[in-house]
Amino acid sequence: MAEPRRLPVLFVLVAALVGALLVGRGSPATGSAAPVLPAPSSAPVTALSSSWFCAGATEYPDSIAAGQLLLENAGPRLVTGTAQLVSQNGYEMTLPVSLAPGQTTAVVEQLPGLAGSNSDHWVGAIVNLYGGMASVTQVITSAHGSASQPCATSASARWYFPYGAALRNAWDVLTLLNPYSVPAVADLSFTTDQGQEQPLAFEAVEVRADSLAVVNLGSHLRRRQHIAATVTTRSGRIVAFETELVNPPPAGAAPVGTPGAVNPVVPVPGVMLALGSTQAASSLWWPSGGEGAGETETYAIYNPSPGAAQLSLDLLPGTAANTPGSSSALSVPGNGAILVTTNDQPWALPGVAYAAHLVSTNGVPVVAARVLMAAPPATSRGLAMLLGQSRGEPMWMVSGGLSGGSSFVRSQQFLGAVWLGIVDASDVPATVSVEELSGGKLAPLSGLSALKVEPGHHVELQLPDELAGDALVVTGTRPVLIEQDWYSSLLSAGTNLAPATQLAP
Amino acid sequence: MGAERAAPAVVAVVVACHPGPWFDEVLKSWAAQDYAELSVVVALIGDDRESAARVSALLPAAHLARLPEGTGFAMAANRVLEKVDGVAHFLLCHDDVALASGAVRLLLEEAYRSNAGLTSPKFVIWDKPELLLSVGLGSDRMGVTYPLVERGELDQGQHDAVREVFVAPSGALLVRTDLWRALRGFDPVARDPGEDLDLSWRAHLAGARVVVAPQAVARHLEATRQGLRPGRPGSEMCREEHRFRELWTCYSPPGLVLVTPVAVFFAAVETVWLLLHGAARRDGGARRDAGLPLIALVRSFRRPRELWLARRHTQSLRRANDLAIWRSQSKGSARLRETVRRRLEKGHELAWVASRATAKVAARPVAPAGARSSSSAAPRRHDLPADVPRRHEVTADVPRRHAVPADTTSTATNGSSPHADGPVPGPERAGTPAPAAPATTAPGPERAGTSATASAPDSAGIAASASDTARRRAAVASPVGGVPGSHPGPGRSGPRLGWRWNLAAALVVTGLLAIGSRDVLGQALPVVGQLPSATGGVADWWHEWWSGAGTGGLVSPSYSPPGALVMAILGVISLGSAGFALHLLVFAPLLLGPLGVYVGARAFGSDRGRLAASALYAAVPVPFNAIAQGHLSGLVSYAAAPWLITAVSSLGGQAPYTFWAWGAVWPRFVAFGLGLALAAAMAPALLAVVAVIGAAMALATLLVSRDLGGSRLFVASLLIGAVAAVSLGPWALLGLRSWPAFLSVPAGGAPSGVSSVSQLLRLQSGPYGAGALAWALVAAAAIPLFIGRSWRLAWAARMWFVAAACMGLVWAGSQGRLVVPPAEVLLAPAAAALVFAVALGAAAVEVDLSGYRFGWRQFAPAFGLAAALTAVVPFLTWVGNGQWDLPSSGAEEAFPFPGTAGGDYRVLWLGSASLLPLSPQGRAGALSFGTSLDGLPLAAQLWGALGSAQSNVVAQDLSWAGSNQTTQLGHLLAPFSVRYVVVPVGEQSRAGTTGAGATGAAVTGSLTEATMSLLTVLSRQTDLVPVGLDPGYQVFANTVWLPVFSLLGSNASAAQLAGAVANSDRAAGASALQQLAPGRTAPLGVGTAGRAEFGVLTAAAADVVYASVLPGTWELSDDGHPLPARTVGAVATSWSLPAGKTTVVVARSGAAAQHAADLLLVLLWLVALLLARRSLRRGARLPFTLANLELGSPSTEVLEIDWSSVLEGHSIG
Repeated sequence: MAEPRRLPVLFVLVAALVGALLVGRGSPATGSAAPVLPAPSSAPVTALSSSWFCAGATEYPDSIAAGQLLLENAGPRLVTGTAQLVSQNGYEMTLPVSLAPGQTTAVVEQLPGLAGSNSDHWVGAIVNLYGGMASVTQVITSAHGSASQPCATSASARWYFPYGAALRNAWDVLTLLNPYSVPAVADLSFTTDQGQEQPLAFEAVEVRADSLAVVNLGSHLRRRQHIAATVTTRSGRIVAFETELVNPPPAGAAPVGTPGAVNPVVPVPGVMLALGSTQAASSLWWPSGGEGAGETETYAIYNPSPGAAQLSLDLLPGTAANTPGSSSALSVPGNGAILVTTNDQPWALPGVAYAAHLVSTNGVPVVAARVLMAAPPATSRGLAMLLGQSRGEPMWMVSGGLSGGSSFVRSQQFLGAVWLGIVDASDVPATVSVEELSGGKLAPLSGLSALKVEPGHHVELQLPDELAGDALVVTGTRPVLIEQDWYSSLLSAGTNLAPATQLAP
Repeated sequence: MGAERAAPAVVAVVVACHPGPWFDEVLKSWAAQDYAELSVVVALIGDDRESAARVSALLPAAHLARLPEGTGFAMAANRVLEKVDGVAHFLLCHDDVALASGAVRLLLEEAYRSNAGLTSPKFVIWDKPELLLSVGLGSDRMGVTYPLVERGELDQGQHDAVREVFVAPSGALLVRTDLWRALRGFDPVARDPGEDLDLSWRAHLAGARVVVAPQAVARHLEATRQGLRPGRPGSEMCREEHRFRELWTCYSPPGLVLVTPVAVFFAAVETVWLLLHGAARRDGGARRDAGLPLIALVRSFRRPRELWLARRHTQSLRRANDLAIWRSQSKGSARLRETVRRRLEKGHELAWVASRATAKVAARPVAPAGARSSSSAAPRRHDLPADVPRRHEVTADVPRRHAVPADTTSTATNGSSPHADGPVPGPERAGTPAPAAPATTAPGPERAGTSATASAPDSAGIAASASDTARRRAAVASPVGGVPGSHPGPGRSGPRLGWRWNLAAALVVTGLLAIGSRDVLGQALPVVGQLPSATGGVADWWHEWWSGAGTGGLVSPSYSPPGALVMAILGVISLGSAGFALHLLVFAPLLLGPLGVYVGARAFGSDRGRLAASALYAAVPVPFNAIAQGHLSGLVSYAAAPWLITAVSSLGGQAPYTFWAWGAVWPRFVAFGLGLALAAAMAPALLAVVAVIGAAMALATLLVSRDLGGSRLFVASLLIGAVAAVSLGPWALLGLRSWPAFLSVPAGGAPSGVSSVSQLLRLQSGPYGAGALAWALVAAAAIPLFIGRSWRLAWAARMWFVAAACMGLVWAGSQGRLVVPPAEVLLAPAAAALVFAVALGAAAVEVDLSGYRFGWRQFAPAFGLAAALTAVVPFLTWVGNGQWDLPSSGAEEAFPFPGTAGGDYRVLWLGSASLLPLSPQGRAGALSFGTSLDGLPLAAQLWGALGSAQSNVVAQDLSWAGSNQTTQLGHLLAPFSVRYVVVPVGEQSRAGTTGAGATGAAVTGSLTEATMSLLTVLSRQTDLVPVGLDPGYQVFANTVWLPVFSLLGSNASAAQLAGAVANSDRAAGASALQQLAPGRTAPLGVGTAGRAEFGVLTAAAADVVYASVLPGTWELSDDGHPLPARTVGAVATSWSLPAGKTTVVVARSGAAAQHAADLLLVLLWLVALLLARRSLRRGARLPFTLANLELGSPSTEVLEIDWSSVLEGHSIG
């Protein structure tokens, strides 16, 4: 036998190794994905069905947070379904719903057969729609303001709420909806301005099947200027909403933040509605932000992790003329919560509209909300809260909101403006178009097509008055984040910051 | 007379110390000298009257001098010559040196011609004067002497030029008188050996020349060294001590400054070397103890005064500086050179033998087969013609120096060391071929009737002498792989490790494995991954094999998998203990795998390599990752891979394995095929893996030697696989119809757990194998590629190709480019190939390394040892875990699945294929799924599921849910009786969550994106309710499930049912299904039985029996009358019942055919087993044709080498 050839063997093996290394380098790595915040999203146009879970409202009308469901069909097909209204005591009622293509309709959350004052009746809704491209938004109105929030499309075993307050004139209510046919048991824990708390009454809260549980935090957490809450379930999954109700402060009462104040109050009346966050994230965006005279902007940051979070809050103005502001070196201890008010900060940008970006520099995820208080001399009134978003989508549905005659019943007159805030959180510019959902189809809007959004920048669009009550579909060439705000001088309309609903094509 | 007087007188001093019979010849040689002025003084040591008488008789002119007993050669010479004066030269001689006639004259002539102070003759072997013994000695600067000619070298006049040397041996030494006087003779302290170095060095210092006059020849018996007279040769200690003493006396002070540290350094290094290698023998046969160099160094200072005086005297003589002396000495270390040279020589010899063993020898063709045997196509080994060279014979083209003396084997057989016997060949070692011993060639009846082992073509065994036949059979000729008839390979290439080493290694490995498994050995194994459940006991396994998986799966009822039969048999072997059987199934591979390596690596010849390879295979991460993830197929592959590689290798006909004629080898194919079938019953993918192994080996053969003969390896692998496939009967044939089912993976492949090339090379498919130390195995396995030669390099290439092919497949699977079996199934043969490469590396170190010049390759042993030790280190840390990361609980704890009282239901297992407790029945995106009946999957569901219309519909439903197109997945799954959806999320998630509420999104932080998305999707479904608390398994209950056999109301129209399962309109179907929710149906429990009977009272209008079973698989009869079945969307079946009370019988159709297939399988196995057994017995008696070890050409013959003698240290030449 001839001596075997060594070099060809070595060459082939080395070549195979190098080749595999080169090819392997370019292949995507598999493994755990970075957590992102799931947001309510509508089913695609070909969907068989979609389900929406709404809570945080009281029975309609004439209650402290009278609820309505705003159903919108952005798809080309008829969507049918049911809206199952449930109460906290087990009473339920199912209403058939039908949505023609492009149609918007409202379902008032009213339980006629339920005894007692409707002000005591908290209502949840489980909406099953057969068909895609439809969305459901919860709208609540009160004498001191209004708020809207897309309903949840998934339940979870864990919910976070970064902001709330329980004061003399403020009620913080968590409504837990169990859309399943088996009961769930939930535990609530809190981080307040007085430390970590876990009242016994808020442990093992039973949420019966297809029912609602209402937890008034003020019943055991009194005089808390800042409450961050975590809801976890021992069994089952639920949907959790937070409703913050603030009455006008008593005359002469010291507002929160006043040094030495014994029993402070929230200085601005209003109502806030928020769907909790199921996850914390290390990067959170608010497409639209700003503060000025009479407008107080506060970022409530909650760190549910045991490790401290190092954060940076960046304010990114829409034009290059303005210098971004950044509050570097924010630190939130483990299981802690802080409030960061931008007003009067050295890095604040008063009078400038900006997008806000909260990023965890050490990777510890957090949950955060932007809270806006508007009072004279600002033109708008009321309270609003918007949780930070982390995932962009190329298509969004913006609910008709409050200004439409169908939903804004109490006040037939909307005195204010509706704004769309759009931010591109990626590194590539996006082009965005806004279309109106009208007459069963999407109609392009002049002046709102092919809007370019630079990376890390935001665009704010004030909608014309005639569009203020219509449902809109925002389509981007790349994933963007959308926020819908309304600012009204009418107290019953108030101020509202709401996310849009993700729309799957 | 005056002219005669002009000739200088010479006095020869022959120091005789109790000489033997040879002394007469010595004396005669003196008497035969033709130099007239020669006077001989015989110095007799002790009272030796006999020698005196012999001197008187044979050399009457000689003078006798008597010296006290114990006087050494140097002292005797000194004393005698003190009394001699008036001569020009002294001639100092040993009593075992016989000078050729004229030697004295020639020495003297040359002394004068060269003006030499010391003159030495050419020494030849006493009884073989044509072989050289020495022509002077050289020395390095440390005083280490070395021969200038090859000992035993044929004297062809090649060294007959007069040459200056550094040391003139004292056997016969002509020294000028004035020089002798100046030097004061030998150093009185110096004793044999070493006195010649002392005298020569000091002569050099004094400016004298030291030459060798080769014309003068002296035969030297070396009687003391050969033990021919009482007394012992000078010890190594004495030689070393004298050497150091020379350094201290002969070097100038500056020279001492330079030399002393070097000498100390060398002594220390040599001590370390000896410590590491144990006591070694040197040329002279003296044993070198580890501490000898340093002890000798210290002892050289024992007599400081004498040392000081000697030094002062020596330095007073100095006429030449140290630089001049150095020029006459050699550079570097003579000892190191000698060590390397010996290794080189031995290596060359072994390499030559190895190459000859694999090469065609162009010699006589073997006689035609028919002339010798009627039962063989070629002549028997022991039927070789008598004139064919036998064991120690070589053919004419073999170099003479490699001819093995016939008595060499005898020496080895006696058990004594050939070195201890002395290097001087006897008269019969003349280099001419010795005749073959008759006993080795005679085909005695006991040889003809020996077992397959004995009759295997073992060159040593066949040619061994009668006295050592038994030993050789036991030591060398045992079959490879334990398979009868396999060729044992070339034998051992290195030191043989005793059985104690093997036993100790086996005990250590077994002990470590037991320690590492301590937490699970005494407990029931959890149902993790594909580990089967022991819940039902062994009886259930028999039942599953006989009855099949029932209605549990979304697949057509297939023939029972042989794996279930294997498990059932294993249960019987375990005396009915299913738990013990499972422990055997899981932990026996940990021992079977290394055992396979141990057996398979025997062919490569290195005991140390074999042991190292076995230990390394026990330490690779593959089986532990398989255990941690519950990958049963990976464990089976780990156990089978070494045996498979050995099987393919041994049947491939490549050296060192025997080339088998196809006609004689088929029993082995049957045997190996049955073995593979056994493994493939548990891991079907092995049927394909064996072909991969063969293909990779064939390709490597083509590349490494441009030899198409390697295709035989591929053909062998295919044949083995084919035999196994046939042995597995109809089940394997059905499996072949679906490649993914064949591989037990979903159609689109499965995540391999290996995401990078780095992980591949580290064999990491799970929690074990991370870290830099895991690279050590690859490093160790690479050694034979760089230092291997001959078949070792070829096999190293083949092994690396096998490893590369398997790793490449895993990599392709991880990239989604190919559907491949689970990672461990392929990584196991890759690991086996790598450790076999390690064994080859050890063989190459022992055989090939010394064939290279001194260079980087010489570090290979140290590198390999370090790499091998490093590769074992991670394993030692894994042992601490106690259960190989196997979770303490598995699917059995996922959820308390209810019994069948409420009706039979299915559990949909959904997730990564590697985590599912059953064979995937379909795939949805990156995830796989399969269903089981009434809870945990049956053991029979671990193998060979096939896709069906049902699984396609379920895949579509899951796809819809995954793309957010439905929130009512439960409705869509209801027609398939899915009551629970279980998502195994892995042990990491389990470990990462504790306490209350650890469900759902709580565990998503450690999940893959696909699993996380799946949980999100499922959490959106309004009809799926999360239940269960085990964070390792996310369980959802379907609130609208239907039993497998449901009695629906008469309002369940065919259109409703079809709409519920028809893909074209599932939206309407989903709504319709709400009418079929529990409470409106009556379950008919069938379970896993093939038949059930119910009494039914139907309404006036006909009720409907809906069954989520594939059409045609079940029959329903009413009071013995078959009812017509209706197909529901090609995925389900329904029957309309007559009104009134009736008795319904549900029975599985085609059960008889399945039972027949099961019996056929058993029959096949039995027949194959008996056939193989008989064939192997007959084959054992077959005279296997060893026509050519390399190419298998029957026209050439084999060079037979006595490997045992070669490898035990004999020099071939």
